Amino acid sequence: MYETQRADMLWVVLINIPYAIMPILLWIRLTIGWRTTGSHEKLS
Amino acid sequence: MGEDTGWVPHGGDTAFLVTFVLFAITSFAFEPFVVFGCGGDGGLAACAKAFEEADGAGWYLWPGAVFHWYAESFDPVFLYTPGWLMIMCALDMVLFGPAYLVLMYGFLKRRLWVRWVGLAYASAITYSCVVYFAYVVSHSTE
Repeated sequence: MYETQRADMLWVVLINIPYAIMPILLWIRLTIGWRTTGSHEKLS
Repeated sequence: MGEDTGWVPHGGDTAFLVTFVLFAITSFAFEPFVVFGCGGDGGLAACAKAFEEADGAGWYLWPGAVFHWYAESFDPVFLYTPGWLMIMCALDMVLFGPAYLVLMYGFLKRRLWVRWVGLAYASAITYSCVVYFAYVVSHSTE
């Protein structure tokens, strides 16, 4: 059965943090951080 | 300045572009070695062995060798990749990889439609990250 040491697990989490953080930042950028000039916006 | 697409730039857009490039490299260069392996049933270990034995002639196997080093050093789940994780890696290769190219184009050309691609991508990758982290954390021991 697959197991990993706790210290290694922390490294895995740290190394993969960009994969966890970037989508959240992208979500923020594309929702509450989304601004348009209004010149071509058709959906709002 | 390019054409006015209605896009209002943000200081972090360049950082997103850099991330899309790096993640695309992961999707296209590294994931195939998890999904397809390098022959036999050795998974990434077979890739590392093939890379060493080829002695320069198999230079294109370097991502497999690097991935094997990462798996051996930190993340052994990729040494004995379970089926569900192989499927997630395959999706990363065929779905998220192209999505990064689309996001790069959209951000570079400042297309408003990129918003919907980005939101769909961010939702999907967040879900897969939660599954992956939960699996790693729940299988850790002292």
